[in-house]
Amino acid sequence: MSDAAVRRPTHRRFGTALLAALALAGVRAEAVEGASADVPALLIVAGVGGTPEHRERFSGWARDLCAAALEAPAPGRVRVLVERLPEDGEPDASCAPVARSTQEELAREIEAARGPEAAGAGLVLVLIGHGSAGSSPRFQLPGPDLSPERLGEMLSGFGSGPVTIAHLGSAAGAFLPALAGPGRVVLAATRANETNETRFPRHFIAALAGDEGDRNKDGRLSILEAFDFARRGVEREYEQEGLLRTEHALLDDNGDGVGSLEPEMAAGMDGVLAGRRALLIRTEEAVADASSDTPEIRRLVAERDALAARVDVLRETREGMEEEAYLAELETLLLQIAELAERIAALREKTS
Amino acid sequence: MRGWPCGPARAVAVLTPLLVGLPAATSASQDETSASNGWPGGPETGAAALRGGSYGEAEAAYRAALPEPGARLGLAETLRLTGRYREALETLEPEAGASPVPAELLARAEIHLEIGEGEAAENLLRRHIERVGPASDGSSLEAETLLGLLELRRGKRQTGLARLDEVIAAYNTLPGAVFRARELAAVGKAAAALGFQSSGLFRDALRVFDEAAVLDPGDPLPPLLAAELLLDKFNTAEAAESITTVLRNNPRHPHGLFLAARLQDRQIAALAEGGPPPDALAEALAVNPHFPPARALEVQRLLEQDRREEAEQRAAAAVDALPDAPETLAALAAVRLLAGEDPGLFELEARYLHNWAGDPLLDLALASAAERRRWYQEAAQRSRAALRRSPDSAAALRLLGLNLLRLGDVGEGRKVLEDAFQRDPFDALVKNTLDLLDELDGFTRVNSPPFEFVLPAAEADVLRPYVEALSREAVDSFRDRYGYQPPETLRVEIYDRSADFSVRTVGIPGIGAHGVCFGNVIALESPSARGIGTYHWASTLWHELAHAAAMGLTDNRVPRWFTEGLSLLEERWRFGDGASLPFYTALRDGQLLDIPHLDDGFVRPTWPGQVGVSYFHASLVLEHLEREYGFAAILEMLEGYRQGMDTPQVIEGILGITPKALDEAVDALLEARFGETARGLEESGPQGQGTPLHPPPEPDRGIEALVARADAAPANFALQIRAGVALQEAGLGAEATERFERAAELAPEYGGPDGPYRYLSRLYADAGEPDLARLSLHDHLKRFPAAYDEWLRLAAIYSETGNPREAGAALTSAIEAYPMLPEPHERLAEAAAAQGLADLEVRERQAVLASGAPDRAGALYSLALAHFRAGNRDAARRRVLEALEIAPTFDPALRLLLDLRREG
Repeated sequence: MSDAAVRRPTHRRFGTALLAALALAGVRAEAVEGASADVPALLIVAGVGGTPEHRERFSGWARDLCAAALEAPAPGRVRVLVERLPEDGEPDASCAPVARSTQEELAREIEAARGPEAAGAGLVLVLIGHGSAGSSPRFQLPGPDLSPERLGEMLSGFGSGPVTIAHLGSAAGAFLPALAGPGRVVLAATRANETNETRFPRHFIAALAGDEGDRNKDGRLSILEAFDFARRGVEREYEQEGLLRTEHALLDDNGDGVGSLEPEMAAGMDGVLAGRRALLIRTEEAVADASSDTPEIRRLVAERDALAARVDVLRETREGMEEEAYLAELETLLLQIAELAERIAALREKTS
Repeated sequence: MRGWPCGPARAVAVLTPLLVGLPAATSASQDETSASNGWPGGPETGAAALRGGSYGEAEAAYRAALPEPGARLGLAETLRLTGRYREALETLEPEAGASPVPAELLARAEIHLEIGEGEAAENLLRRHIERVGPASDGSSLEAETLLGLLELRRGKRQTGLARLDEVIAAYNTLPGAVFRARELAAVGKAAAALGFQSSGLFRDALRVFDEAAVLDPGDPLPPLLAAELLLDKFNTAEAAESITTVLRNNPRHPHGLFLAARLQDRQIAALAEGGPPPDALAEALAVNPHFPPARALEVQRLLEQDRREEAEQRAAAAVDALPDAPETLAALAAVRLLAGEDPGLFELEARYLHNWAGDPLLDLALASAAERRRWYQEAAQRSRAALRRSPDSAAALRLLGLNLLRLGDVGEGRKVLEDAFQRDPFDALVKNTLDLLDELDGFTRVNSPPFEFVLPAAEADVLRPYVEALSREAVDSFRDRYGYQPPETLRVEIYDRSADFSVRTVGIPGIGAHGVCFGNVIALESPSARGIGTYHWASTLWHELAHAAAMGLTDNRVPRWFTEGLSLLEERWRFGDGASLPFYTALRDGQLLDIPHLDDGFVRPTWPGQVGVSYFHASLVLEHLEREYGFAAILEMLEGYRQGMDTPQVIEGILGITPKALDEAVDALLEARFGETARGLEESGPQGQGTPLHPPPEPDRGIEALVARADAAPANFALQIRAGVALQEAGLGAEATERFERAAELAPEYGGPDGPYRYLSRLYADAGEPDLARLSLHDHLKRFPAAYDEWLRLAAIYSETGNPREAGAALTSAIEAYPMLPEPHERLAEAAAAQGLADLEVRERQAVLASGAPDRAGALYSLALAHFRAGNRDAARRRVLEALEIAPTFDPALRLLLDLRREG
């Protein structure tokens, strides 16, 4: 993808913003993926390092990412593929690599992720390693390297099912056009022509490992939140070191194959699907809310989420309101949410 | 951002393409002696020798050929270039009864001009024009240009301008004329002089100079003129090309060497650590000991180094030799201005103005001298005087504008610079400064009397509390210690881009410093402009505020070494600092300057690293003064400077000893404190020049070889460090510890980022010696307070051992090293909360938010909670609403909102 094709968010006029916000109100209340406790399968692939140092780094990141995912209160299926299997086994057996990261093993794991054993919540595929640019971009694996087209074939069985591909290596943007499509979130650590080693993976892992990535504190880390956290972390790091940034992460989820540098949850923009889709559920409360057997809790949670969606709408209309009126209206909604939250907590306490 | 203007406004260049490559000498000029376009030809041998700078050979050849045509001109040119002006004039005197040759009239006029004899030059130029005809028929472009310029300088402004206009008009309108290189050069000079009317003329002037150079590549005049014009515009790169052209042909051309010296001054000023250049000025004066501009530059340099007596002697001698030369008259006037000798100054001014009523040179020289001495008010007044003399002088407007900015009068300064830009849009200093002022419009201004802070908008929320608190602390401290009374407004500007700071300081990017004080205006780099661990913003601010105090107490008369020494001493007391390896090696190698010449180390360094070494050296001198003579002596010395005394007078008058005796006492101190270490640094000299102390061991030799070398040189500090690092990396902690302990003994005051205590703190911690680890960290940080990560480590140690107060102090120091990251603020806020210090917690929570914490909702909630604890209910409500606006189901924030409602 050429740089010229990168889409930047534009200023929207008030009317459009309001429409977008209204659309999102529905999104929050009705269509958040992962609102159930089901979380997608996570398949982590560490490619060829090229040097012992890089091999260790990539497999270490894969292990860290796995560990962060398994820390969640209700983790999904997590599988790790690495360039070279450790001779003495993994210290953390739960994140032990299941196979080498060859094309064959990758295809097998992808197939398994949509098989009967899978939870049916889709797949998050994370590629860690070196990518190459040019007319035939590749992700370097042991054996034949992986082309975006071949990866697309492997994923075709999911149809328009919930699939997220996070290519965290260099020249990742080159994979974006071939993998984009309905139901797909494609995240690339760099533009197509950026071939330097990336810093994005560290920050992406940090988003899963800590609380700070969950920007709206709802206990669910969305793909968009993880992407934003990592993107901003990379920007900050380059800025602090006084370096020119050589990686610009992209996200596409509207299927047009053109990545956005700053996706957001606004109608027509990249970011809506990624904002809805949970990467993992971070808190016990969120798990409990999503899978509660108590109808009263489910009703109150729905009511709370509907009010939260109204906050989203109100926020989008802020520019046209007097400051104090806005704050008063916001406070009214938030107090209602707070009271509901108290009631939910009390019920949780009672039913636990 | 201003664009450079493009496109000539007048048609000077229209005809010039016709000239390139055309054969010479078809002009109407009567230069029958010239073999090549006005450059003295004559006997081939003499001409070749003259062009190559073999003046002795040229003189001999010309004298031998004197009956031949051109020999007189060639000889006169040789004598002029070597400073034998009277002999040159005598050579060109027509024999009794003979009619003067026009070319010789012109040459004589040029010699008179060079030595400032305007009236004689004017007469000769008029005679020349009478002989060959006016400019309008193309016959006397050179003479008309010289006369026009002379008339301008002598106060006949309208006549001069009209004459220069005629030159350009003649050039533009003479059909089919083919000009000689010297004539083109003259047209270029006319265009440059009229550039203030139309900026395109500057560009045209350069183009014509270039064409003249193509026409006669051996003639130094066109590239010299181009170089002067480019230097005036601060275009040093292109000026250097032209100067190189001249010196490549004739490495002993005095004017070329003089311009090279000017260029070197620019580069030294901008890049003080750039390395030692050859002394082109000395070479110029060796060729022509009387060349007035070079003599004036020599005096200027002496003044910069505060060598007033020498400056006066040289200037007086130069004026004795050539009593009318305006450059040396101006130089002597500058000496008298700085010495406060008003009667002598008035006498010189009157003498100068008698001949040069329209030339702002003297006023500009006085303004520049005052500016270099940091007398910005005086500089502004002298610039105004220059403008009265020459209302179109862009240089005077530039000086005035820049000095007004330094005085804090940003509004008026900007207006004046806009005016300068209108007249000369090619002046890089003016353009850069105006661009900077445009950028400053977007900065945040905080008025907090007596301070006015100007901060980058994106950083203002983080920086403000710390900058403001530290500024107050510093000024209070200086008030107590020195009796310093800050002015009504003390402006502190902080720049997040090094290039902007540099433009504010010297007008061009590339300065190596971090801060500057103009008296009542301070500028410094933001911590974000540099990397973590390399720049300590707080000590820089403290240092600059100490300058403000010293300058305020002395009416800006304190010499550079004294104020730098005092500022660094203040800085060392407040924040700590250590000796650098270059300091040790300079001491060992006898490179430290004596006190009366210590200014040279700042303003005219002769080896890389000398500026930094001079700072530390000066601070040790001040430390010695305070210890030996008491703090009152320092106050008395400041007062002595205020009264106009120079350093030897201050030392003798107040300390009652000679400068030599003081030097000896300081040398003894340095020997006792650093001498043994310095001598032990044998073989570690190269590391002192900026290479790291601990490069990896040579791959082909390995650790064993390195350790063996360190064993063989137990007094070699750098080798002990390098061996220690290698041993530590190899996991040999005990052996590494031994090396670093040895290094610490060798250079206990070493203050680099890679000092032994830094390593020891890690090794002691690994060895289960937490107390030793903590003490080593303190030792390291006392010598290198910019070590941000080490401050955080120290804070962690204190937190883990239940010492929240000490942890808080360490975190505060981390913030003084680098405040732009959330971590120390977050931890300090936690420590404050644990100690019930609500206001501190609020401040730090605000900083967490302002420093771009990734978890914004969390940061807002924590701030709301801090406000709640501090009893700021409205602020708490506001912040918790902001948190919930981002995260509407954020449970702790919802609970706080309910608490606020229920309690409220």
